[in-house]
Amino acid sequence: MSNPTPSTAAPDFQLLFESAPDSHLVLAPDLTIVAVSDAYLRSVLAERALLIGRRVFDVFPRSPADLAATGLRSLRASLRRVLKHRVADTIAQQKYAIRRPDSAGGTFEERCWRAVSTPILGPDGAICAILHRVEDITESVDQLQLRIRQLEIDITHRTEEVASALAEAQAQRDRQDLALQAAQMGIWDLDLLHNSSVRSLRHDEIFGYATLQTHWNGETFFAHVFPQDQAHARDCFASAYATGILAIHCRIVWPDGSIHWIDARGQVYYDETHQPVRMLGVVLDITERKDLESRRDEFLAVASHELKTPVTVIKGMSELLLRSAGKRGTSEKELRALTLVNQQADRISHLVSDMLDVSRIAAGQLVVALESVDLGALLSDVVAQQQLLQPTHSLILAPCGPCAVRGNLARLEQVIQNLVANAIQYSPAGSSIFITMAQAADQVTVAVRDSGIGISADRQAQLFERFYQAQDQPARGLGLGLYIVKEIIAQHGGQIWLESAKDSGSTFSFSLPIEASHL
Amino acid sequence: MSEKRILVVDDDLAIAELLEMILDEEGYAVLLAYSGHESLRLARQHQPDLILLDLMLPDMHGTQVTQHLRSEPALRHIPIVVVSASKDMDAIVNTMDVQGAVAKPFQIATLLASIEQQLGR
Repeated sequence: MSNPTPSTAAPDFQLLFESAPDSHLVLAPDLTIVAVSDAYLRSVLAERALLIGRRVFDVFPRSPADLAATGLRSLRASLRRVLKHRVADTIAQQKYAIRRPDSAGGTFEERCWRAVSTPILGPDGAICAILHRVEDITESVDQLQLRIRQLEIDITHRTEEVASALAEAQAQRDRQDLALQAAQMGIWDLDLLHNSSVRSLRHDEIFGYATLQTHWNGETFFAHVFPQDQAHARDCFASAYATGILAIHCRIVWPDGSIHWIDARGQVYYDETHQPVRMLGVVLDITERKDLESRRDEFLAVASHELKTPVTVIKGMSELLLRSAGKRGTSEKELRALTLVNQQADRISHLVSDMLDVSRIAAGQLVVALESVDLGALLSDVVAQQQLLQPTHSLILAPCGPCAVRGNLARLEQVIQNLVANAIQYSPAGSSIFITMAQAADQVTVAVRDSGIGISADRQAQLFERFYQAQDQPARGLGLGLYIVKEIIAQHGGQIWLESAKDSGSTFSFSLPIEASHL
Repeated sequence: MSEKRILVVDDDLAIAELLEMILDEEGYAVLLAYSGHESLRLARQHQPDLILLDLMLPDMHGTQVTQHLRSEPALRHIPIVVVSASKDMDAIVNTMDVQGAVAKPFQIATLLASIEQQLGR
């Protein structure tokens, strides 16, 4: 057995070490290079014969590209620590330029290394060698630097974004300040605990003072309120404490005796025990607006009166002629003409009423004078009356008993009339219209169902809007009817809705709260 | 059976004429007044059975005419029916001592029913 097989012989450790995939250098304690792996030679572009037996710092001189020699210095420090403490030492990132062989020009190439120096201790505990392992991390460092650069760019962008957002916020505050000044709003902040306040000068100006007053609290405010508006103003404060929101519309008296309208809005702040401690808000002089409103109301009243007067005459005269037509032997054609004149006068009259109603909605005066109304009886009356006027359709009212709601009789009558008239208008002659009333808990619901052309889903929402006109239909009226109906129901604390589909009829329903004493 | 006499108070000539024609057709005797003062003078002079009263008159408001009529013992019993195009008629009429109210424009049947209710015809 002169040639032992490799599998049974001891491995050639020198060869193993030199062929290992990692870059290793073995140094004697005096830092003489004892052994070096092929990988190491490849990464530093050197030959083994030039390294073995030489001291490491002789082999790797300072590179001219690294004048500060930080790479070498950190290696020297690291090796010194290993020798002193006899524990492994790591250089996380070491820059060291390597010199290309003279055949390749002998120039230097910047590289980045991670180096771990591990002491190999002999049986006596003394260092017999240092295993120095290096890893070329040039590429990952480059990537890291690229990422850092990207992050820097990113942060710069975000900083710019934040800065511009801040600038925009500031600009918005400036605009708000400007708007506040432009709107001539006064600002007030009432301390309810100490019965004092902080106000802007404009606040006191609105109450008729040229300068800020030294003393002002809630009672000072009430002392300025016009006597007839006192109760209302105190009610508003009481409800503000309960709801957290103050909204007052009232007249005040200036020190010079003149009367002004103000609009004050505010928010209440509470302590942990829910005691109101602070009220903060704005106040606006709305005298001019009130004047305009009253002039508008006056104009509408006059316009309506002036329009209704000639309509009364046209309608009355045509009706008078129709009533006596039989006696005079009026021709069919004349009779038809008179009927049309009479109907058109009614139409103008309804338009005028609708316009007035819209102005009442704007002024918040649509539903005045509430009383107890028997909705069941009202429904029967209106249906009977509409049936007489419209014999072309059958109005079928499901039996319903009395049901008391708190409301305005004329307005609720208008709602039912409008819904029934709409059902008649949009369904074929000879068809039936079903009207039902149902009570459930504290609500009563009235539904008017027709078998007409129906309303497609996309048009249903707009239906209750002002000036809406049904499509595919010749325009009739001002498109105010359902808008007014919705407002009347809303002001009675109720709701109105619609279920319909194209060509399968519509059901308009409204619900109202049943009068509390009748529950 | 004596003819019932109705005093029509309206400053609009066309309305006054319309009311006169309607009432005439129904067999009422009609007196016309175009102002508040004229209406009071005619009322004192003729003691009508009913007064149809407009609210917006050139010299005074219908509420004032009513107050004058109600303050005179000879006139205070005369039923008054307001006939008005005022947008706030219902609210105003609620505060007045009157027996009926008809909004303009009206149906002739509605107007006549309101009159007949007062005259018991």
